[in-house]
Amino acid sequence: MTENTEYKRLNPKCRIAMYIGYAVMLAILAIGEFATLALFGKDLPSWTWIICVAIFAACLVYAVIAPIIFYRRYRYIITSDKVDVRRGIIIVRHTVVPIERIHQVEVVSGPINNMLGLADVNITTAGGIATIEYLEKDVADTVAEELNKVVEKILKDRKKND
Amino acid sequence: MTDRTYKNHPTVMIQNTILVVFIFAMMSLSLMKPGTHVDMMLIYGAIAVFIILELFIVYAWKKTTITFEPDQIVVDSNVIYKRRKTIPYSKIASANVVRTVFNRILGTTTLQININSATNAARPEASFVFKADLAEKLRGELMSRLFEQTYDPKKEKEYESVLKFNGWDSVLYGMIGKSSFSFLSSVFWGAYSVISLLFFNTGSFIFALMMLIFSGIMPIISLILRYCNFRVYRVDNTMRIEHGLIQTYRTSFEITRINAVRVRRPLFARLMHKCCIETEVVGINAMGDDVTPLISLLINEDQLEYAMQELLPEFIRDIPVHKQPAKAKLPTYMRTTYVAVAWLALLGSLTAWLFLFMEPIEGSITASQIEIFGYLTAVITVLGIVFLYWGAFTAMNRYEFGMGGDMFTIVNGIVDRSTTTVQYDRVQISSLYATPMPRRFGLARANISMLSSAGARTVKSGFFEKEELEKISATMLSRLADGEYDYRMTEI
Repeated sequence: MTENTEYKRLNPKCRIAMYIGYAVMLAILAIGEFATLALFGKDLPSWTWIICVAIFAACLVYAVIAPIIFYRRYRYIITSDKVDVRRGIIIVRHTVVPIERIHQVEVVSGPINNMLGLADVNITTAGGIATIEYLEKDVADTVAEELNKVVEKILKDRKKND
Repeated sequence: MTDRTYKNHPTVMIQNTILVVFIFAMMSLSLMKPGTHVDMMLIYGAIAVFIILELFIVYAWKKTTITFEPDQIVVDSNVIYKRRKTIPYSKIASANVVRTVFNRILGTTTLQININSATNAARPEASFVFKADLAEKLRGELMSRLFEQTYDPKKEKEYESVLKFNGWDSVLYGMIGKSSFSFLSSVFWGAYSVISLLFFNTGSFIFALMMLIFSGIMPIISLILRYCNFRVYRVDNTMRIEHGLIQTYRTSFEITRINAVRVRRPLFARLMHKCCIETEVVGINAMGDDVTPLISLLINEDQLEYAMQELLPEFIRDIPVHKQPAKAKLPTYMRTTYVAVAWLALLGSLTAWLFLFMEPIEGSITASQIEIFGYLTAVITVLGIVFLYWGAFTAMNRYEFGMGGDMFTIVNGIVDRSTTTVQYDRVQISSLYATPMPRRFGLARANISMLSSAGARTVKSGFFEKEELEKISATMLSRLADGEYDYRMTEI
């Protein structure tokens, strides 16, 4: 693996993927709220309407702003010894996974990501999963392949030492 | 060890048959009402299903085997699917024996083999029932092989427990050794059931009583029975633990398998100057549920040093710990305020609704009962807020962090305190996180993920300087780069 010293950013298309995902969730929320109010609205006090609209408005604002912040903040770097991801919208996380601890690497792509040619790389360790999200498919494949190679090399070296 | 193939003891079929009969009895009781006519076809159908299940039980017994080969254990199961599971001896973390009530009545023992894996950590890789002496013999052979020690079940009984516990210790642990919230909730439901009996209807009394039994009394009794006759001792580099009254449990694991050691001080235990020791070690959970291996029940604080010296000297470190920095005060209070506002909104609106909108319902709830409920929720709302801010106030002194050469220590918990000492080499993922307020002060919290008996477990720190917490991952990586990390000690 060639040694990277700079953090990489995501493809700007990640924002579109997030917007589509949020739009679907907002649609489900709107349908749920609408159905509740249509069915039970007459029996509910008027402030329940205000609460429903306020919740939807808050979610809408979050859905508009979140992808922009997510994209601006997301950084990742893969070096010879670690996978390092910095991400977050309200809560910012900095995750470090030593490559030595990696058990399995998989490339996952849901329908929205698939449509946009994006994929997530799930890095499984014995203690949990770390994910590099919204990578371009070929980049995700390369990352997974390179990580697998490093893991294989570690295992081969161990066998030699044993 | 030469190739030897075993089946489960035939009593397994009796055990499974009893289970089937029990299920049939429960179904019959719930479906049939006294005095109603029972269709004969239904009875014939039930008999046919019972016969099929019995045949299946016999077939499953016949087709499930365990073979001890020179380098591995092979579990074959050819019932519906053909399955072959191979367990290399090098991957086995522990071989435990469990004696359930069935086992005791039928003179058998369950041998459970666990591997070093986070996947399926809560379930053994192989579980077979043998005649008691055969199970002991096989376990002995396995342990001799795994730990390179001669194992004699008779000699094991001669080892003295490093810490002596009696029945009262298991009762005490069952009551106050786990979460203080569960103990307090039992007290709450106990008090509520008395109030319901005096002021409310029978329905609310039965509800409170059920909550008391299921959330308080039963878990406590289960813990008492589980940890009765607790014995812990060390033979060379292996830890041996035994406990249980009705169901007995014995386990052994190598000290090198321990990822972290935790000294837990639940509130009421702390008031009595007592604490208990737990370890995070993967591959020993033979109880089939989420249980962190307990090294000691509640012991006096002055016994802790002796217990650590005798049982876990490898984990004694003089790691200097320090409290959260003063600038963590504001983020702590801000976080508390968010929670307090949510609490107030939720319970405050419930209180307001009870006082302003709730009308008495004839035969169900009276005006005075509504008033009592209203005052009760108001008191809980205020107490909750007082508790939250008390928690924020004390958090400054409660959360601690310190780094040593090969281990680091995280102290956390406001009501129930715990001190966790983690080996850098056992950290799987190090994650720091911070909301906008702590970020402004350069603070973050650490979320350390490692292997445990439940699969994976995380340890969370309080607010500390981000640069300081980043040193955890830096130390992990430098130990890898410097060759201080020996994968053979942690291989999974």
